[in-house]
Amino acid sequence: MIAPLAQERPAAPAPLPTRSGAGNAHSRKAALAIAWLGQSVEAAVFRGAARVGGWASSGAVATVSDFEAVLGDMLAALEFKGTDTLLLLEHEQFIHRVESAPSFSEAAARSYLQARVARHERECGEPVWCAQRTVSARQDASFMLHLLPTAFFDHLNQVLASRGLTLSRVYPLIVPLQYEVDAVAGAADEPVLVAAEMSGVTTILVGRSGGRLTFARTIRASWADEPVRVGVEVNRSLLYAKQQLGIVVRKVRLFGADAGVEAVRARCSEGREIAAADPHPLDWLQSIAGLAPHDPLNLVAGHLRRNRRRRLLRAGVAAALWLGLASMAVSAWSDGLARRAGAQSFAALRSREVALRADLDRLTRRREAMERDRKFISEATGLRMPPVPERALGYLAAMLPKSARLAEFKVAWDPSESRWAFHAAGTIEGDEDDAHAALDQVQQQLERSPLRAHFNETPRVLAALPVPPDSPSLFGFNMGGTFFED
Amino acid sequence: MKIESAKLFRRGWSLLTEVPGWPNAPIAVRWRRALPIALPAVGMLVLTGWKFAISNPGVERELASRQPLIGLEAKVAGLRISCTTRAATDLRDRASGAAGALMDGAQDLDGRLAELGRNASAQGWEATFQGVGNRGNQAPAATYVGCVPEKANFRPAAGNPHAWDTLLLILDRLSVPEQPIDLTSLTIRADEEGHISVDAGLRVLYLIADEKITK
Repeated sequence: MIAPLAQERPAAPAPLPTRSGAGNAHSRKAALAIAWLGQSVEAAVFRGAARVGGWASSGAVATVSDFEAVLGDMLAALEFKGTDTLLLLEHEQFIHRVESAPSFSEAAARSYLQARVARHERECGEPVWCAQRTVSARQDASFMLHLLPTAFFDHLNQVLASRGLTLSRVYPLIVPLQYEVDAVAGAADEPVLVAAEMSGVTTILVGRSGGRLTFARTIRASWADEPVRVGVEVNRSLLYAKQQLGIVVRKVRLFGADAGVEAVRARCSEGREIAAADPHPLDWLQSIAGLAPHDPLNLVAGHLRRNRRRRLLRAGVAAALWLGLASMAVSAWSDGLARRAGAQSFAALRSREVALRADLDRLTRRREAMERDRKFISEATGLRMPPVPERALGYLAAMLPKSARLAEFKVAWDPSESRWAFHAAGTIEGDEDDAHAALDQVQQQLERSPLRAHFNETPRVLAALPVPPDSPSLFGFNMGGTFFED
Repeated sequence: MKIESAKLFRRGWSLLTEVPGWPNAPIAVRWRRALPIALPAVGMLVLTGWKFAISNPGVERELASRQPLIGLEAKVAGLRISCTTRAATDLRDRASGAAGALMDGAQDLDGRLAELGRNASAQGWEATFQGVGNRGNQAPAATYVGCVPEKANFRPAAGNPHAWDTLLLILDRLSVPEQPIDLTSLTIRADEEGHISVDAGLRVLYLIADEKITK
């Protein structure tokens, strides 16, 4: 079943640089590359850029079930032990559609494309898809949408997964054909048309070097059986490029049967350089083997990203739940320990219950005695009255000048007003000014004394008294007020 | 709303049970796939249910049954802190000191007044006392302490040359804290010939008989 492709085909070209530049991550890993183009399947194992072996199916492979049937032979022939798998796919269910999106912003173009995909989903079911920007002279925002039914992809993925294979990359045939454009155009920035036929399906693309795709189309036409139609379609593509996009293509590269090549030469050779070769899917596989899984033209990049996010989410949720369960279990365990310790401590407490009750009685009696003592002390000290009368008498006696004489002094506790009231009356010798000054001084001293005397508003009476002739003047005084008023 | 919920449920179910690369996996495989998440979730649910339905009520019942004894212990501990032996002894000493400054009862009043009269006589003054109201029928001023109002009249004895100075001495000795006598009023009159008359209002404090307040 192993086809001697390596001997019959020209040597594989040197690997082209990847557009993403991130192929080194897979350079040391073996990858199974499968080209399912039309109804033929070819496969090879790549270890980095080096192709290890090749295999081609002998019969037609139209459905996933057919693919599943030949997968075992393929793996056995290639002795592939790895898991990483890439697929170069051209299939009748794999749709490529040109869409013109609003060109004023990337976001608007993205939204437009998503809306188109949503519409396709409503009509034909959920697709796995990617979009490839195309360039033209009109500089509008046109895209090539590659749409593969999710059901087809899932079935294919399931078939591969059942063999332990992980489908990490799916590319349309346009991708390796763009490398052919690079090879033909070389350093010149010339538009090139590439047409390739695989199992009755012809892919035609026009592009420039550097992966700039102008347009691409896929038609059902066998180069061996319908060469004239192939010539017409290629010519139509050239005219379309010239008339609609303003691109004059002078270089044509053909991969297909000789009849088709001749038909194209007959129709399109005027002023054009036409080169032909046999289709070589394994070389095309080699040109895309180095592309990283997150390359924008990888059809399943988004699908894989979503799967990775889901895996991470699942792992995170599972980890959080297990941690939560563990913490709850630890909490329950520690609660149990605390409960047991509490029970032991309560048992010890219960054994001391009699002693505790005796203590309570003793301490309660002590507290009552203390309360009684405290209340008694409060009463015995609170009922005592300060020695105001005797102190006031002492102060006044010390403050009055020698020329003064007290006739009456009275201090009394007024329980209704809760204050000490005082009254003093007497006489003072000397002239009137001296008498006034002496009484002012006494008043000030009493006000500032610890008794904090407050004199009545009624002005103290100071009246001259009759005295014998040749005797000093004598004035009577009369003052009153309260102590501790403030 | 119902449709949104159903969609959300489907997405959750898909996230929970999705087998990568096997969209149509049988239900048993899907359940197995869900185990790493479903198992701890069920475990947490069971633990939560056990905690709130069984464990917590049991703990609350236990605590409620223990509460009287725990409360007793807390009460005893509180009393030990607030009613220490030293605090009780200090209070007792202060209460004894305060009781010592009071008369043992209203019946001791005559003795106290006689002592006061003797003291005045020693200072060259004549003291006379007059009760206010019925001595034996005085309402107590408080729970433990009663007081008896009394009027006193002091006159200097004939030939007392230092009437003022000795009056101050008598009054000073009257007001010391160790005496159970308070001066509530003091009226001093002196005429032109130098005759002095002193009227004093007294309040004599006494201890109401109580076997628990002892000196």
